[in-house]
Amino acid sequence: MKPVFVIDINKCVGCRACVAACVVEHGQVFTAAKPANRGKPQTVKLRTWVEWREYEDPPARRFVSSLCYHCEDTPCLRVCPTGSTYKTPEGVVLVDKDLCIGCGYCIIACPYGSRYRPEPHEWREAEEKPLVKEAEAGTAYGGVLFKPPVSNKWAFRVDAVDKCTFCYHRYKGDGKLWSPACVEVCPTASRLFGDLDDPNDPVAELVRRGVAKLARPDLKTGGRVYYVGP
Amino acid sequence: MIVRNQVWGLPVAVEMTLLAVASFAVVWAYIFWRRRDVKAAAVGGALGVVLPAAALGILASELLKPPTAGILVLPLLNPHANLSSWMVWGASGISLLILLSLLFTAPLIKPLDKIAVWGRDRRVMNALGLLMSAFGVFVALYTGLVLSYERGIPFWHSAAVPLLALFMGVAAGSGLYGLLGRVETGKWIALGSGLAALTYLVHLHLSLTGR
Repeated sequence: MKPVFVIDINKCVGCRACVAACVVEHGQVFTAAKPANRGKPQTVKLRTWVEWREYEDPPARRFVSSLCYHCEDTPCLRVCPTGSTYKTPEGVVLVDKDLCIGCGYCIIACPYGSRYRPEPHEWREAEEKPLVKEAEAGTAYGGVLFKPPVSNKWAFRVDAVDKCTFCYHRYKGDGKLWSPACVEVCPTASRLFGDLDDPNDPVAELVRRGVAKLARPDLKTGGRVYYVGP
Repeated sequence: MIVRNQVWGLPVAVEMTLLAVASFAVVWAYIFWRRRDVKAAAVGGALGVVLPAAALGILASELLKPPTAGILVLPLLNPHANLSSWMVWGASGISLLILLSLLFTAPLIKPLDKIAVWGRDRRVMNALGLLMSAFGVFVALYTGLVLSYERGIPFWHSAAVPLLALFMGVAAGSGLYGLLGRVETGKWIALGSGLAALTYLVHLHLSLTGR
């Protein structure tokens, strides 16, 4: 099985349900919602995020969501000094949170900005200033918390680098494709998940036909995230 | 679509500066020892212990798991070490630089020379000095290699960066002895600084033209 992610930019409406689902699933600190971080996409430290681009003629706004590309030629895996970054037989790039020491070398190496580490000052700030009053009960997790995260060994932790896992904890190891949380909640089916090894998979077919393309083929990292769009 | 994460800020810049100074200070320490200038050699050798140790300390303080900082000492011995990572080789090189500098410098310092008996054999000191210098040069190069190896930050992903680090090491190590009044290092300060500036300008130009 070779899981593949396709994002149809033409369908994305920028609702960020994917971001919320990911935050909930993995118990991330929602620091991106803090007022101080507005307008600074580089401080959005989440596993998946949505940016937008404005077009003038004709006037349009397109939303581009991103996540870890799970590269074939994996820069983060090469530089990790402790071997905490590894690849599953399905090609999903994961971080062993126990082995990760949080040096940040993988963040420097990733050309897509798909990794982040929870900075202690942000962590404290999120703990002290939760944006939503109802979330006060969840301050133990450091901010807005909708429900306890799904327990898994790749869930968010303050002492390790964090990144998208394609919700690998949902995979039962039976060779059957699973569905990531963000794909489940996407209201416009902009986010699709398929199996490149399945000849009848409609999502994989988009990749095979060349309708879905890599975001940056010039970087020669390959990857499992493809885009449909202009 | 491409987002920059902000890691490796000022503390890492300070760490690399300390390594640059130490890298060629130890080379000069060996040269001065060969000239039988023990006092000058001891200064460079001592800095070869103190500055890289401080650099490792800074790196440790930047980790998300400070208690695991011990694995930065000779990480090659860590069973999980990823040998394709320059950080493993670099931190091992820094550890060995500290050890070799300590072995080289201890016989040059008065109260310690009675314990450091290997210092009485000039061949041993020669070998230690050569190895220490080699690791000094490696550490200078490493600070560039660690930044340039991967393509995450395009401006750093260049063969010019390790060269720049090497030339800055020459300038910094020689500059240290220049500050101590050793005028013979003057031409090396000029050479290191000049080559560093030239490399940086060429790198900047090529980056701006997209090559």
